[in-house]
Amino acid sequence: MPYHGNHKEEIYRSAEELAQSGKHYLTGDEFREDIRTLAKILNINLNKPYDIETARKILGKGTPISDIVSEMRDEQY
Amino acid sequence: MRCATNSTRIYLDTSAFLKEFSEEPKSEIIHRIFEMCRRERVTIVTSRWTINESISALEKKRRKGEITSSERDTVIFTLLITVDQLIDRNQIFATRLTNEVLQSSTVIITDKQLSADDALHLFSAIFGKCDALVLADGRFARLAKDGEDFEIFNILDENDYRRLEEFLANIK
Repeated sequence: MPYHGNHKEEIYRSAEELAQSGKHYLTGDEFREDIRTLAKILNINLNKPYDIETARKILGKGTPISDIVSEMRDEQY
Repeated sequence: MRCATNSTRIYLDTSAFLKEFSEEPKSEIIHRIFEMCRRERVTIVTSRWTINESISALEKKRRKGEITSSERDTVIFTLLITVDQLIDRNQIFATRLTNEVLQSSTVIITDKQLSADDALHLFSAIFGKCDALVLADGRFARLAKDGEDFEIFNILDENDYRRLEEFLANIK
């Protein structure tokens, strides 16, 4: 669906200004700190060995996770 | 902050991002994007909101009785460590939830009749200067698709899936 009115131009101009300012991205250090803080809050030890295939098998059970995200958005829509 | 590399920038919304941690229909192409990211051929861009939305979806799957609390935590652990490793490689970037970002995304809610989450992802892809937005959500794709200056691929759609395969194959 295209934008109504002239908002596309306005949105892309605002996006350009935000991108130029550089303040609206997390820096690598901030993002890393954020993820590590989140791990602490959730009591998750990030120093353990991990195996992505284990996670994929777990999440592959039942409803596809993308369908669950869509359901969450349907509730909000 | 701009990306340190010149690689193709692919925005993943939560519905696509989470497929990296699942074996489910159409997840292979997301595994491929993450693998290309590890090889520094693409840069993944997403919103910081994706982490919260992901954990919320995992918790919802637990509430449905499809996974246990311990299994949910295993997936969250895998998600966090994967992101942590990509940050170390400078191959993933997250947009902040600042007032300015939220204000601009609000205009998209009414312009394109998107949910607040979808509008935030779409605006983040715009200001993240992404070459493509990849998602796995039919309504988001339908409402977002037209009028943007970059490719939008809904991987649940066969045609978009093939187009994304070609897009990835053309990345040097």
